[in-house]
This record gives sequence, structure tokens and C-alpha cells, in this order.
Amino acid sequence: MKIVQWRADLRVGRRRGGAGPSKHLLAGLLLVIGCAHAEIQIERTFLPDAAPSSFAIGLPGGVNFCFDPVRAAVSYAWAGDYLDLTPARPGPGKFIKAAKPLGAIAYREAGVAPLRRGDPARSPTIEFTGYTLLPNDGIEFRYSVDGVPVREEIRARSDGRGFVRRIRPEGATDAKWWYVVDGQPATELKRAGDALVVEVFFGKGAK
Amino acid sequence: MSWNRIKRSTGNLPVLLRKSAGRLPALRLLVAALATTLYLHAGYKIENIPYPAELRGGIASIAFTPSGTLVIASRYGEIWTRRSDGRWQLFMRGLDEPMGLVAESDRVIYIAHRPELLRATDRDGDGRAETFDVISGAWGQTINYHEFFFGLRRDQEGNFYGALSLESQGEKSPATNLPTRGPRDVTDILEPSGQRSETTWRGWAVRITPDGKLDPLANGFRQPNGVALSPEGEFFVTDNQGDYKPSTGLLHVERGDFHGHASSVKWEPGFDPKQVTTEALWRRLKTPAVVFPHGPMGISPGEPVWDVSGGRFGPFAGQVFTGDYSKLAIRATLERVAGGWQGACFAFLGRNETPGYVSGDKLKAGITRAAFSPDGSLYFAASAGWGAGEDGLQRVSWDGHTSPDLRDIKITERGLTLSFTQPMDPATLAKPEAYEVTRFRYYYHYKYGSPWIDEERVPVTATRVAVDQSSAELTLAELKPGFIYEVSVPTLRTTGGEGLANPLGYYTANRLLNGERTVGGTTRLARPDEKSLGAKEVTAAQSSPAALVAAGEKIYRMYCVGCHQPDGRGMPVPGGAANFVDDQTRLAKPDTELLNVIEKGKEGTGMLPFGAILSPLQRKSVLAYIRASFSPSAKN
Repeated sequence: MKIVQWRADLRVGRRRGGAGPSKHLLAGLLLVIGCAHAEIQIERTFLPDAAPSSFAIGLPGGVNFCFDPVRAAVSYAWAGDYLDLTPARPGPGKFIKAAKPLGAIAYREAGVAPLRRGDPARSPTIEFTGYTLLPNDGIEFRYSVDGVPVREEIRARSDGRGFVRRIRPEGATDAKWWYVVDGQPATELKRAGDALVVEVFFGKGAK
Repeated sequence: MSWNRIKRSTGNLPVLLRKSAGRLPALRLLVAALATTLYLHAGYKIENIPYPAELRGGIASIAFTPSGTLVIASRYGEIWTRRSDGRWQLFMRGLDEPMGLVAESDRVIYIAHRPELLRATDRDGDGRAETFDVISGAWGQTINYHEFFFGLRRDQEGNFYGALSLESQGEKSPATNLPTRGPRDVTDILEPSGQRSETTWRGWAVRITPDGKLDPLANGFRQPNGVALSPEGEFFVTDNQGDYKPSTGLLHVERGDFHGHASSVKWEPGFDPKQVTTEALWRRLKTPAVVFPHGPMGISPGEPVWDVSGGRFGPFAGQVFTGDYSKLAIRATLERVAGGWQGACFAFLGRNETPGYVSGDKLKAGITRAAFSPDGSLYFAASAGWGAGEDGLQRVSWDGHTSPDLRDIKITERGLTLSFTQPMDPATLAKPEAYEVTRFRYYYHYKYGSPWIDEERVPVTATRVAVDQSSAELTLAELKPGFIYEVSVPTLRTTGGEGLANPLGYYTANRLLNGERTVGGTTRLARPDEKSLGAKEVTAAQSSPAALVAAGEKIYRMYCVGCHQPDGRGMPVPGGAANFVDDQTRLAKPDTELLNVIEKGKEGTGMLPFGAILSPLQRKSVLAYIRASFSPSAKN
């Protein structure tokens, strides 16, 4: 059951040329910017509007998102090509800029850690604890919310127009769980089977 | 093997070979075989090791598993493993600047990368990790490119050891309003400096317990680019020269230490900025166990590793090896003196590349990662990284031939004892004038680096040669703690007439055997009347053109040689240091233009601005030396 759903128009982005990338970088870009990824793409780097070392995840089929381990949440998502890493690679000039998602942002949320237990008005304490690459192109992030261990599985929608987050807090089945982002009312998450489900839908123009 | 190379290596043997050629082929073969056996030993062989062409970003860390699998990580966040059959396997992607590894097995690897200490596990045995567990990430982080988590070592109890670097400052430094992890404090301590601790535990060396608790041990680090545990379990790091850091070196880390850079003290429990003064910090300062004098002993040392091969790596068993960014491998020795660690350092590879000492490929610039293979060979990994290095993987092995060299320098009650890898000619070994000993120390200040100060020759008043002629005890006219002793022995020869491969060493005398030591270690504070760095030295430079060149040579040795190399040929890589010798356009430019580059640096290259470090006269003198030594007219 879809508990929370966002829609966004898709504008397919175009890769912007970098200024003189190295041969290694060119080789790297050939590996990572493919639209129809053969496997999950994963980079941890300087991403725009995200905490340091956030995840850029590219799911097969061209579904991409930024997972911020400080928020323990998806901060934004885009469809199409993956990532231009050129600006984030240190070179002789040393200072770096944020990598560029190679597509228009199709979904965005803001605010401190959105997943909350009990009181939606209280910012929780988040600790990021790890992740696992799952069979069949899924990824699981692990973190704790106010000390409660949480496993969150993310997979692309079968139609490639977004992704589904299945959030599994350990124990604590009696508690209410909320999703709180800036500019929207707090949403109580309901269980679907063993998980709280958050779906991000890019809209009909996504593919 | 070319004739020229044989000639260089074997003296008159090529003559014999040429005479035999054409007349007696069998004799020629025999002589060539003899030459190979008797004369062409090289001591150490350097080999470029191929690594996957797909690997992105140069190699940022290297390790071996207990079973001998080579593991490398790239700056762009990949880990590859090389199995026993030589096949490379991609183990994982998605790390952020992995600067250290502990390879527990082919299936479990611990990684020090920017945000965390991470454990990567290949649970299903397919060669690819799929499970990643954060052991600890309890430090602050911004998006500053210079924030590294260097490491990684693990002790027998399972504790991990690493070190967190400072943020780099500059006009292009990222704005302060970007997201951070943890609190951010952009205040300067004492003075604004090139690097700053803006988030928690930046500039600290840390221990992480097996259950993930972060235990900050000591602070004052700037760019602690090499982390190691000695065979005795002692914690050492290398740190880079810069603000508050007069020189590079190998530092012994104990709980509560302060190692020099002021910025990180802001995270000390009970920190009170009103109590912080330069003198107060200097009184707490713990200087390196072994100073690597900036210039002759490199510019940016990396990961130190101990030779525990039991002699399979040659005559330096038990000693410490570290790669430096400047096409140099450094060798260090340690001894316990009055309760503290101190010792000596020498060039190992990169300074003397004559065929009689080293063979194979040229040492790469940027070799700041090292690991001993279970077979006793030493692997160096290089990353172009900061602009003037090269990407690469190299293996150094010993061929069984012991070249004549300084093995060690140790302190005695009245001086120093030098030991050698071979018996030396006893006649010259006994002569005090065969030893040039000079001592110096540095300023402790917020500025970048330091000139050598209080530099003076220390006469050798007597020698005592060991019965086996493999060591000599020198009595010095005066032995004082708190100085670095430069020992040069260019005229010493073996009993067979060979000179030493590297006849220069530096001993760091933090303490004497009787326990005498000085506040501030091998530094002192500048006196109020010392308004410019190296004023005494530069005043002498004004006396004549030759004196100007001589003064410039000293500055070149301290600040320039690491990148531009002793022969002035620089580093032949994009963004690398200029080659003054082969690229004559470099020195064809007018003085004003070159002095401007020395003063302000060169954007897009590794050329630093030296305006804040060298006075105008010092800049003029170093240019005079460069012109006198490397210009076409100099060659003539």
C-alpha cells in the first residue's frame, strides 16, 4: 500500500562537458554515466544540497537519488543519466565543487531527519550504521532513529518511474512513525506487511 | 643490457668484452656471464606493477591479506584485489577517498575513508563485497577537499588507529554555509593559518575500539598522511610540513600529546582560548621522533612500514620505510633514549639511481602508500592526487647484493655511532675529518615551514673504529639535545674502494642518554629581534654573487629540491615541477617573471607561493642558484 506519494515532472538532463578531465576520469565517466545501468551505481562524494559523503545511487533503468546519511533519507532524485563527477575530483587546482546529477531533479525534500518515532515535532538523533547491496538491484540502508535500529530497502519501481522505500524499524511495533519534511504537514506512516512504505513517483514523463 | 650501461656498471669489463667480440663468441658469453654475476648486482630492483586499467583515480591505499592477496584502493573510491593467479577483481565501489586499509581476509576489509571507518564484507564469496558496516564515524565533516581520515592499523586487541587531517583554507575554499556533519567552528587559534580544524577531532590522532567507540588520543597534527604501529605496538604517524610544522617527520603518538598545530586544541576538554599562547603551546610541543628535514628528506612523507621480513629485504631489517611525494623513499631508524623514541633518517631510493645500487624502473613521484608483501618485497602505491605526482604501483625487491651504505646512526654519551652495511676502509674510517657534522633546529611559529636556524658545524674530535670496520664511534666537540645532526660522509670508501650509496643522514637528538632534553624539542621560539626568517643566513648572501648563489643553494635544498629534484629536472607529469635543464624556455624568462612565480606560486600547478616564507632577498638568491646550476650557460 502506498502511504506517501510525491509526483514530479521529469526533465531529462543532458551531461555538461567538464573542463579537461583526466584520462582516468574519462574512463570513469564511461563507467558511470550510462543511462540504463547494468548494476547499481554507487558513489559517495560531494553532492549538491547534501551532507558530506552523501550517496549518489543509480538504480538500473535510470532511477537515481541522493541518500543523505546525516538525514537518513532521500534528499532528491532524478531520472536518466547518472552523475558527472568531474567537478568533485581533486586536481592540480585542488578545490572541488559538487558533482552534477545528469538529469533534472524530479523529486526533492528538505529539512532535518524526516523519519521520527512518536513525536513528529521532535528532531531525532540519527546514527548511520551501514548499507547492503541486495540481490536483484536493491539497496538497504541501516541507521538508528533515537537508538532504534532501522533497515530501509530501496528499489526502483517496476515501471522505472520512481522508487519504493520500505522502512523496517526493529521492534517498536506499537509506536507511531512519522515522516516530516519542510513545507508539508507531518505524515503518519502506516505499515504494509513488515514495512513502512514511502513511494517516490517521478510522473508520467519520467521515461 | 646496453654497452653504456655495462660500462657504467663494470668499469673495464666492456673493454674486455669488446676485445673478445667477434673472435671468441664463447669467451664473450663467459665474460658477460661473469659480469652479470660479479658486477651487475643492483641491490634493489624497482618494478612497475600493472594494475587494472579500469581503476580510477590513482592508488590511495594498499594492503596485503594474511594469505598474500594484494588489496588496493583508488582515490575515486574503488577497491581491487589481486589473487594468487594474478587476476584482478573489483571488490567494491563507492568510497570517499579511502586512505587506509586493514585487509583481514579476502572477504573482509576495513577501510579508512573520509566519513567513516567502514567494514566491507563479501558474504557470498563471489569476490564482491555487498555488506558495509560503519564501525565509527564520530567526527565532524564538511565538504572541504582536504578532510581526510588517514589510516589504518589494528592492534592485537582489535583497536584501530587513524588520524584526521585539517581543513585547507584559501580564497577558493568552500563557503561556510554548506551542509556539514556535526558542529562547525571556523575560529582561528592564535593566528589565521593555511589549515584549520573546523569540525570535531580534525587534527587529532584517534583510536577506535572494536565496538566503535572513538578515543581521541593526541592533537596538533596537520596532514598526518601516514599511520603505523611499530612491531612493539607503538603508534607513529608522519605529518607534513606547513603552518606550525617546520619540517616533516615521523612522530611518536601517546595519549595527551600536542604535536604542534594550534588549531586542533579547540577540541580539548576544558579548552580556554584565553590560556592559549604560542609560548604555552611550544612548552607542550612534542617534536618528531625522527625529523625528515624538509628538502633533502622529501616534502610530504606517507605511510611508514617496518621491515619485519627477517632479512629478506636486505641489510636494513627492523628499520622503517616510507615513500615521499617527491620521488623519494626514506629509510628511518629508531631507538629508545631516556624513555623517548628518536632516531635517524636517510634517503633510501630516489636520490642515487646509479645502476650499482638500484635497477629497473624509476621511482614514481607520489608514492605515499606502502606495504610489505609476505614475500619480503616492498610495494609502493602512488597517486597524482595533489597535482605533481604520478599514478602507479611499484614493487621494490632486494636481489641479495648489499650495497655499501650507512646502516644507522645512534647516539652515544659523547657523540654518535655510525654503522655501515659493509666493512669500510679503516684508514679513512678513523679520520675525524672524514665526517662532516652540522647541527640545526627550527622555529616554532604559525608560519609555513621554517629555515634551519642556529646552524653550526660540530667538529669531530676523535673516532673509534670497531674491530669489524663496520662502525665508527664519533666524539663530538659538543653534544646538545634539541638539535638535528646532519652527518655527511662523502669520502668514506669500503675496503674495495666503493663509495656509499647515500652518504648523508640526519639524527634527531630530542634527548641525550642522560635524560637531558629541551623545551620545544628541536624547535625554539623566534627572539623579538629576529624579524625575518633566516635573516642571519641572508645577510651573508649580500656579500658577493657567489655568496648569493651559495645562499640560494641552501634554500633550494630546503624548499625546492623535493619537487624540482637535485638535478633540476623536476617531475615529468602534467602539473609537475618545472624541468629547468631540458626545457630551456623555463629559465629564458626574465628575473621579474620568475621571481613573481616564486613569490605568488602558479595557479593550476603544484607551485606554492613562497612570498610568505622567503624574503625578497632569499627569493633572489634561490633564483640565482637555479640559473647558476641549471641554465644552458651553467652546463657550458
